[in-house]
Amino acid sequence: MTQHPIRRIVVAGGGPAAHRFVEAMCSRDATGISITVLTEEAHQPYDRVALSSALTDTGVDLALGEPDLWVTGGVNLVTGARVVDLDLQTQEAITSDGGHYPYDELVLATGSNAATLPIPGNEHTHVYRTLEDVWTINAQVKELTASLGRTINAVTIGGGLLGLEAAAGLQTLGANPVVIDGGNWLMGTQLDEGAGQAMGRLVADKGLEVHGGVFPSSVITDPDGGQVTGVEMADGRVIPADMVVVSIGVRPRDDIARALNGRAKTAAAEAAGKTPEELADEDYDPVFRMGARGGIVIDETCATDVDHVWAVGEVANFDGKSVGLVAPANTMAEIVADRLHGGDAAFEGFDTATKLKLSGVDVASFGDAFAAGDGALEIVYADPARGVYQKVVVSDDATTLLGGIFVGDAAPYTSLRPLLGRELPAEPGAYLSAAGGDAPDTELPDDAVLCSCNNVSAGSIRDAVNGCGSCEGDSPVQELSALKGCTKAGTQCGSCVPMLKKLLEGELTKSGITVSRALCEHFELSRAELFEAVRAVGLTSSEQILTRFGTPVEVAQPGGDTIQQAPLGCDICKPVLASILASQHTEYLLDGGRGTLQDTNDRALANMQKNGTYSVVPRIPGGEITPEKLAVIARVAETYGLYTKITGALRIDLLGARLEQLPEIWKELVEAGFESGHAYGKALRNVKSCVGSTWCRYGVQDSVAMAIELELRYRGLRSPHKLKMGVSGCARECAEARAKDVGVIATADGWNLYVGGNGGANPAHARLLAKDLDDATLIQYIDRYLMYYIRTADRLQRTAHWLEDIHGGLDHVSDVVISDSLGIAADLEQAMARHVDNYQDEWAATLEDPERLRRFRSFVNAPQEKDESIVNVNERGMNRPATGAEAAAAYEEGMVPLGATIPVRSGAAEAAAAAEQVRS
Amino acid sequence: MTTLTAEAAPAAVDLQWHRVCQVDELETAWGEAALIDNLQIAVIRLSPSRIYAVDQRDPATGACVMSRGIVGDSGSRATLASPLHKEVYMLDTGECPGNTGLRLPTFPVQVADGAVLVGLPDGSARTDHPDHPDHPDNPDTPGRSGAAA
Repeated sequence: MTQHPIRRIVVAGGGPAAHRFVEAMCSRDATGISITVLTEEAHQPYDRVALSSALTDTGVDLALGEPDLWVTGGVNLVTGARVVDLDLQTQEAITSDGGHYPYDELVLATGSNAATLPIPGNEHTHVYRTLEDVWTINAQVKELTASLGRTINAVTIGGGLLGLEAAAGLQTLGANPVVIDGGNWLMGTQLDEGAGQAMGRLVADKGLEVHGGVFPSSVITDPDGGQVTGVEMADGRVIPADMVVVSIGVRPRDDIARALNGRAKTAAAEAAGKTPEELADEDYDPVFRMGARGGIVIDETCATDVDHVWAVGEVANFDGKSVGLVAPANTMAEIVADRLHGGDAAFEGFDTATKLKLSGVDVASFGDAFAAGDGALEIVYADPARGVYQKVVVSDDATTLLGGIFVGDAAPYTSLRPLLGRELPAEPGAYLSAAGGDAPDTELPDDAVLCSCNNVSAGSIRDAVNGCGSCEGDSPVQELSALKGCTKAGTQCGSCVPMLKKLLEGELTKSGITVSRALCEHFELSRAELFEAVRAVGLTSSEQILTRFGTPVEVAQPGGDTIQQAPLGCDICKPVLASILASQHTEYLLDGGRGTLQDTNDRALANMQKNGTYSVVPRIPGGEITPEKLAVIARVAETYGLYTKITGALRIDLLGARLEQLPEIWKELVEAGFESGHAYGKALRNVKSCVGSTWCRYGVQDSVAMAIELELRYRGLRSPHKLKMGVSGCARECAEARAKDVGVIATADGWNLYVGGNGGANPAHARLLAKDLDDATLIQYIDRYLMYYIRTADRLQRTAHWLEDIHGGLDHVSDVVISDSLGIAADLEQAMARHVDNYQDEWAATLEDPERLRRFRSFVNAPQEKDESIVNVNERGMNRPATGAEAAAAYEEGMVPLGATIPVRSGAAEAAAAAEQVRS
Repeated sequence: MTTLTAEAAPAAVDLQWHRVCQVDELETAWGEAALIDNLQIAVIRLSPSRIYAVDQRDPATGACVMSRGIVGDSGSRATLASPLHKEVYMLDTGECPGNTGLRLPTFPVQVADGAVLVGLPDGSARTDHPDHPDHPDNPDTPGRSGAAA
């Protein structure tokens, strides 16, 4: 063979391993190299790990990496091209459509196939492997649900990781999820029996029906043979099924190698005068050695038995195993790229660590999870009642970490995983967090792998943070997102991101770099610093604050000189100034230039919706409301055509009011005794309560009265973020007070005070601050707690995060609030007293003054006109905003005046018909 | 007569000037909506001699809300943040540094005898619907490039 001037590299297969290989090649020197990726799929390589997200959301984009990769010079992605054969003499890969692709180096990355079940009816089942597979499953769930007119039974055969993911996805799609598993417990590859049983209970609680320990024997269809009706089990039972998904594992796609081996065997048989069947396997040399259960054998360099042919990912068999996980595939791809560049990287074995969330259940397994090694010790904590199982596997001297399993609570996994094979810094039992273990924070050694998906060590992350040359320009990378981009750590499964963040912060602290807490380009100070500065100097307006503490702006003068002047601020710092001024002075929000500081909602004393209309939320303290007041809300909603909805905070939201309608609406509400609910403010929202001892046969205190007292005390209090409170009348906690910033729970002797709870995207349970308080002490502590938070928290920092962030944490805050360790308790209480004394209802104050009403005019030059761009649709008896398509279609027809209501449409495509209906 | 935002007034397009309100009807840094025929615009006063006019329609969502955004500055240039999703636009050019795919149409402003005048391309029939052939957001509109380039 003549040496080709360009080194031609051909990759067979287009999955994650192929993607990683190309990325690894391009990140090294790729001059003089052409890379051709031959994939039978119609897509760019996509993230198969995230396939379950495409099952429930078919629009999700799973493409891996930067799309630019595939238009880089020298990289050629050929879709729809399946490699079926190789010509080892001419060094060509041959595709099913007859294409010949000459190579200097060939990388086999063909992955694996979903295994199918050798039982009758198998042809009626689905597999779960490609985007097309999950799209088909998605479509069939919808079709069957529609055609059968009921919740369908979707059976998944296989209780492994993928099978459970599929079942959870099917549940999300509205099917009744059933799992059939031949094993005695779920996820038998990753979990031991105790963990598997815990997993089984947890997923059963989530609504998954599990039939374990029995194998299926056939898939039954109706007499026409088209529609699946059930799965027959080996013990004769029939599980009703409308569709069946099979997820019983994967088989390496090694048919290219098998074809070559088959030809070699035929040739050897001919030479020996036998038929291939007569020739024993040991009597001929296969071209590629294969694993006993499939897979092309590779050595530690990822080379196969054939020169210039490499294998990576699930098709590769190393040490007798092929493994269907992304981390080893990525590692192999990196190794081949390194070897092709003259490096000496070597594969050290499979990292089978797995962490995932299935139906909301955390599961993690790593290392020698089954304690199979000699003398390995297992330290186990199992709590079937809570659905928690935690196990740490250590060496016989109980020092070296060998593996672990976590179900239900996988919190220790992220910090333990990088310590695999190392001496544990604490007693193994200390890592069982569910048992109350309290493991020390550990400094990771440089060679510990922090991100196993992308094989990134703690050392290389430290290098990047400190600018030791691992990144372009060698500049230090000191932000989490940049660090992820630079090192690729945390970019695949994401489970190591908390550790990554911790490591970054630790490194920055060590090098004396203070993380900038500057508010924005206009203030070097953090919110907490600015709050104290404004308070100390006694500033009372935003102009004063911007002049005194803002970063000056250089403004060019006509003569060519520049002068320095105070900045105007921006959408980040102006609402902070508004909040600080409001917390310190409790004045009408929109007067004296303060109106221009307010964020979207505060500006209109209402919550702006997507179409520019507002929602109105009157305060209903503690959720208690008279029938008369309910009737007022009903009347207002009817008069103004507002959409009404009960909120999660025991109140009623009235949506769809135009700016200029707000004063009229509030006039009626204020006259009926309502006041602002501050749903628009970074302020106290509401105090949720249960019905309490007045009615409830379990209640021990009057939670409603306490909730009303607290709500009326703290209403209107501006803070760094919104504040929510709850009061429960007994330990049953029906008011969910521990999900609030301040939670009060009745005891026989008074009230327990909990702080720092949060719902939403980052749920946190509030923690106990003080027990069995009388009413006065409870309020005193809440006064101090809230005011200390208001003074010291960062912008938009909820109390839960603040408690984590503040130096000393809850213990410190507890010292300040209860023991007055800073000597500021009286000051905090006085500040709160000033707020309580100065509170006035913002809407009543607005209505009193015609100058204030000016802010609610529709148009400065036409205050009598209304905004005609707002189009409503009537749906389920009330108005909602028209979608863009509905409004445009109605407008196109010319039959609907803008500002009108058009009838409900279910889809945008039918929007044109909407106008038709209006006409008729 | 002073043209305040000259960069928004190209010579090639005939502008028609519309009186909106008196300068002192506008509060500093408090945006107001104005209706010119059926076109909604946002008028923003930074000082008696520094007034901007932009489209009232939020380029990102299509909702007519821009006058209710926060007025600020970046360096020495005035900005307006969309009240819905907080994209920040330069008031002089309408560009959105955070998302170059977005642009807020801007209109020239003059102050005469204490009145605020906004220049719109001559003959543009006013509708606030962006798909309307004459809306300044519509790429086919003859005056569009002139109004905001």
